[in-house]
Amino acid sequence: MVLAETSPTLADLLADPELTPRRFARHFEEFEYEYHEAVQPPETFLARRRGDCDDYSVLADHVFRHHGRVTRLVHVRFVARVAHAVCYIDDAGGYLDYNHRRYFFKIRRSGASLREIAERVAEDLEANWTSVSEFTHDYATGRKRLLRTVVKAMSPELDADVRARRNP
Amino acid sequence: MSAPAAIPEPPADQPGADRTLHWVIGLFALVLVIAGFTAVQAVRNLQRTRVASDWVNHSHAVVNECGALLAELYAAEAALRSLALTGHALDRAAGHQALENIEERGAILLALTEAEADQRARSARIDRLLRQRSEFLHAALATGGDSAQLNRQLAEDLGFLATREIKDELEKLKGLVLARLAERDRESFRQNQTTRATVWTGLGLNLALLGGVAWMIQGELARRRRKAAAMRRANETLANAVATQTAQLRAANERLEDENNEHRWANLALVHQVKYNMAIINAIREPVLVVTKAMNVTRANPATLDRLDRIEEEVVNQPLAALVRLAAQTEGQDPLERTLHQGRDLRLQPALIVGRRGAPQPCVLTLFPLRDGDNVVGGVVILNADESGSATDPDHAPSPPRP
Repeated sequence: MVLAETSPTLADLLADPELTPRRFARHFEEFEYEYHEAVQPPETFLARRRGDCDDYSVLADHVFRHHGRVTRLVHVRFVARVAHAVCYIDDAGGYLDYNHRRYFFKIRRSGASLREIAERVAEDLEANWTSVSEFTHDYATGRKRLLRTVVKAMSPELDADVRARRNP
Repeated sequence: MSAPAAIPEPPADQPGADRTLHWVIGLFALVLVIAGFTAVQAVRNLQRTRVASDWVNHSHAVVNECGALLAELYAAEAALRSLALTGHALDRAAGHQALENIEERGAILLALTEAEADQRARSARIDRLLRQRSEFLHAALATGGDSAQLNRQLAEDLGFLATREIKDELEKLKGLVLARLAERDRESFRQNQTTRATVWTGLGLNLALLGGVAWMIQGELARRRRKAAAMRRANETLANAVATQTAQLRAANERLEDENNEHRWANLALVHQVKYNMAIINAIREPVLVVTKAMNVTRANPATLDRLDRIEEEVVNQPLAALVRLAAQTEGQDPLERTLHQGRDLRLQPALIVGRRGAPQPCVLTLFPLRDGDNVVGGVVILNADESGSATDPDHAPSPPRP
């Protein structure tokens, strides 16, 4: 296990009153990519400075919910490649993406609907997406739960989040 | 000067010139319409192709989920059996993870098959079967460390039937999806064929139309070139005719100039001759008058003016009779005029000069006709002094001497 040198702890992140999405992302600029089927515990992820999009997005969701922001975890599935997870922050008008941790613009702007988020993620990966789901993850139970799923091949008017907004 | 060469008429405009332009514009408009239609068809086909590609990806996603679901189910079954053998917590955790994955993938499969009724029904059945199986697996995993109980549960379990049934349902679902995919592929192929035919036909039509336009333009250009050549020839002929006429005019002008010079010189000679003649007449001591056939004075030499005691303006253009008359009065036509008309001379006739003042003065008049060829055009009157005293004015005859 690689010991963290300068990465913050979960407590640091939760206690920072001025934590913004950009500041959060800057902590992970030197992190490496390593695939894990399951989501790593946050302390492990921060200590090892290695992980994947699930680890990053779930941690961001956990931290910013703690700070009172409205966030959504989004999972985008593609053709013949591994699915990708991002954390959408409503008041930022965009999402945190582990692939963008080293870019200057760390927040990727997009529309708020699942379809729009999926289109933007697919555009960045130069791939065609097939379906996108909003999900939750609980560190305590380690359980992931799908809330709603949107399928690309279906008509946008029938998207689950659109219908939910129309019929709250 | 010879007659000028005939200038050929330029070729008249053919009535089809404007029609050609209308045809060209019409054909270009048609080309645009066909190109637009072809472009629209191509764009629509691109859109259909994108949609078709999405459905292909979607179908493969369903097939992948079916495979992944089955794999997770097998993983969960394997974890349970491994737990029964080893009682290890890792096997329990693996089992729970597999069951969680089954739940997630089941939800995704339901969403992916929502659009097609038969697929939706099939995946709903699969979901029911999976839930049933998952309930058993959850319960089995929750037995804790009692492997004996777990083994009993497994011995009583007909899970392999459930698993086989789920597998069969998944295979059927995959079959439905692949059949639908084949249908869509056929439709897509036909649409591509149609679009290809439309595009190629449009392209061929446009090429043919453009060829027609090029042919028409080429014909029009050839016609204009012929017309330009005819115009050039007409211009050349016109230029030649103008040059010929100019040369003729120049030659005529030169001849006229020569004639004018000759006339001028002749006139000068005449004037000189007249002056010379006048000088001769003026040098004559006797009064000499030149009269017209109508007996009007046209010339008078200085001796005449002296004799008549008049200035030139009082003599020239005056009737001769106002200046001098024959002493013998006659009735009827003036004998001088009659003589002149007859073309005879009248010599040394007594006459009387009508003086300005005082009594008429006697003189002797001689009249010679002036001839131009055979025609009498005037006369010359010479007045000599009356030395014989034969010319007397009866009105002013001197009184006879007194005895």
